[in-house]
Amino acid sequence: MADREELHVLLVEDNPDHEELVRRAFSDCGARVRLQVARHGEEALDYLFRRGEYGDAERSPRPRLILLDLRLPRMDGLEVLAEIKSSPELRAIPTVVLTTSESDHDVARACAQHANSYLVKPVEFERFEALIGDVESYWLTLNRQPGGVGPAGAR
Amino acid sequence: MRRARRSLRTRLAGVLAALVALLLLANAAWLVLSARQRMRERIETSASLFATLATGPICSAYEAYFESGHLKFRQVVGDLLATAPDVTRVEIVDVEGQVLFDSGRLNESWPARPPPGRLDGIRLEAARRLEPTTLRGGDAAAATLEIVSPWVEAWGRHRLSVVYSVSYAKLREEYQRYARATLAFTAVSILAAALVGLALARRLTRPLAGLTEGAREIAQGRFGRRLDVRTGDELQTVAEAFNEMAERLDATRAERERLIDELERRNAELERFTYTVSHDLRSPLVTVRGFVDLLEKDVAAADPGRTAADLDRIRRATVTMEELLRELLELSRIGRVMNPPERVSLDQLARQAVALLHARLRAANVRVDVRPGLPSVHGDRTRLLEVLQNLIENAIKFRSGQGEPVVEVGSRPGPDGPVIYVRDNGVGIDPRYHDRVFALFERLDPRVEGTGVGLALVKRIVEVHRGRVWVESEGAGRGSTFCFTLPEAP
Repeated sequence: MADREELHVLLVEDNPDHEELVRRAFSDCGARVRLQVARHGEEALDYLFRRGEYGDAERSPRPRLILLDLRLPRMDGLEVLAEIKSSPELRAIPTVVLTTSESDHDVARACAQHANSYLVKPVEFERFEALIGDVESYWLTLNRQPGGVGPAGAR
Repeated sequence: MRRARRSLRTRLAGVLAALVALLLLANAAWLVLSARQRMRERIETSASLFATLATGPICSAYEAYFESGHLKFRQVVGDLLATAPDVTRVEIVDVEGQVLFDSGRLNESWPARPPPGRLDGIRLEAARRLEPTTLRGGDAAAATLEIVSPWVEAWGRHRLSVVYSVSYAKLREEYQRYARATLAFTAVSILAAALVGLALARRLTRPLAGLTEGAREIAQGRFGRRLDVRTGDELQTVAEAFNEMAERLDATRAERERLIDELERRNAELERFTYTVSHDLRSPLVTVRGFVDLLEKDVAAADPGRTAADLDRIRRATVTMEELLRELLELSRIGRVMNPPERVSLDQLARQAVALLHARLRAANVRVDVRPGLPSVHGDRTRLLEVLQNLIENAIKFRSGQGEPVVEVGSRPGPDGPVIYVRDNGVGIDPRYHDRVFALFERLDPRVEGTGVGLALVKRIVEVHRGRVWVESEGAGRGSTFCFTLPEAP
C-alpha cells in the first residue's frame, strides 16, 4: 500500500481558496492524489486535449478523475463537460461536478451532459472533508475503469 | 359572416311594407266606399229622373190602352223599362191605394184581375201626395228604394200614381267589381313597396355588413383591418370612427406586447440574477466557513504560518462578499432609483471621469485621450458618469504589459445616431467572449481583481437609457473598444 502510485486528479476551479479546501480535504483523508488545477474552462480543455503549454503528453497525464466547478471564467463548466463527453478519448474519465450551485436547473443540465455525478460543496469543512473522502473512496478506489484501472485487490 | 338575429334589413323592409300596406288599404277603403256612395246617388238620380219622365207616358198609356188593348200598353211599359235598367218594377196605383197594374206580374195571365193588392201606411200616404216621394227600405244587406211619382193631369186632377221599385243589384255587382280591382291593385302596390323597400334596405345595410365583418375581425385580434366605406353618409362616419378605434387598439396592443416583452426580459434577467447571486455569494461563504473550521486544526497543530494564511483567506473572502453585496445593491438601484433625465455633455462627463480616476490612472501610468466631438445626450448624469468611469477602470485593469497604455474616449457616427466608444490598447477579448463580458459576475481572467459586476452595471445603465452596448476586439493582445449608443439630447 505504501508504494501505491499517485493518482492524477484534474480540478477545474477558479477560486484558489476552494482549491486549497479540496487539497486539504484530500490530504486529511490520506489519499495520495496529485492535483492538477485548471483555473478556467479553456485551461482544462488545453490540458485534456494536450494543447498549448500542455502539448507534451509527459506533462499532461490522463487524470483518473475530473472535479469540475460550473461557474468558471470564459467557458463555463457545462461547456467543458460537453467537450469532454463528446470526445471518445476523454468520455470514459469520470467527471464529477463540484459546485456551490444547488439549482435544479444546473443539476438537470449537468446530467443532460452526462456528468458522472453532481456534488454541492458543503459549507462546513467537516462535511467537505467527508465528501471528498467519499469521492476518493468511490471514484478512485472502488470504481473500475477501462484499461485495468481500479482496485488492486480485484485484479 | 354570421347573420344578425333580426337583421336591420328585415326590420326596415317590414316596417316600410306595413306602413305602405296600411296607407294603401286605407286609400282603397276610402275609394271603394266613396265610389259606392257615388253609384248609389247616380242610381237614385237617374231613377227619379226616369220616374219624372216616365210617369206621364205610363199613365196615359194605361188610360188609353189598358182596357182595350193591353198588348200596346205592355209594349209601352216594356220599352220604357228597357231604358232604365235599375228600375225593376213598375206599379200603377190609384189614390185609394188600389194596385191597378204590377209589372212584376206582367207575365202572368192577362188581364191581371182581380187587382194584385192594396197599398197601406206610408206607401198609401205617398200615393196620395202631389209630389214625388222616395221611400227607402230594407236592411243594409239588401237595401230597397221605391219612388212614388204622382200623375197630375193637365187640368190638375190626380187620380193615379206610379210606384217604381229600384234595385241596387247592379250597384252591388259594379261595386264588387270595383272593390276587387282596387284590392288587387293595392295588393300589387304593397308587394312592389315591399320589394323596393327590401332593395333599398339592402343598399343601406351593405356597408353595415362590411362594418360587422370588420368589427368581428378586429374582435378576433386582426387589428390591422381597416374599413373602406365611402357612402358619404353617417355610415362612413361610423366606419371612420371604427378605423380610429382599430388604430388605437393596434397601438395599445403593440404597447402591451412591448411591455410584456420587456417584462419577460426583466424576469429572465432577475432569474439569472437570483441564480448568480445565490451561487456567487455561497462561494465566499464556503471559503469562510471552511477555513474557520481549518483554523481550529491549525491552532491544535500549533502552526502559526498556516493560521496566518488561513486568516488571510477568511479576511479576503469577507472583503469579496462585502464588495459583491455593495455592487449588487448598486446594480439593483439602476432603473429603480434614477435622477431626472437632463441634457448631459459627454465631453464634460468624460473629463469628470478622468479627474475622478486620476490617482488610479497615474498609479497604472495610463493616459486617457478625450477626443473632441463627443455629443450631448439626454439621461441621468450620475449614472452616465458611472458608465464612463467603469469603462475607463476596466481599461486600466486590462492594460497590457507592453507599451504605453492609452485609453481613447470618442464618438463616431452610427446608423442609430452617434456611437460613443472607449478604446484601449490592452489585452483584448477573444470574439468568443464578446457577449459574455457583460454578464453578471462574469470574469474572463480570474487573476484580475474585481467581482464581475462593473460591465453588467454599464450594460444595465445603457439599457435603462434605451441604448445599446457592445464590445469590439480582434482578440487577445489587440486591445478592445467598448461602444454604446444613447438617445441624443433634443
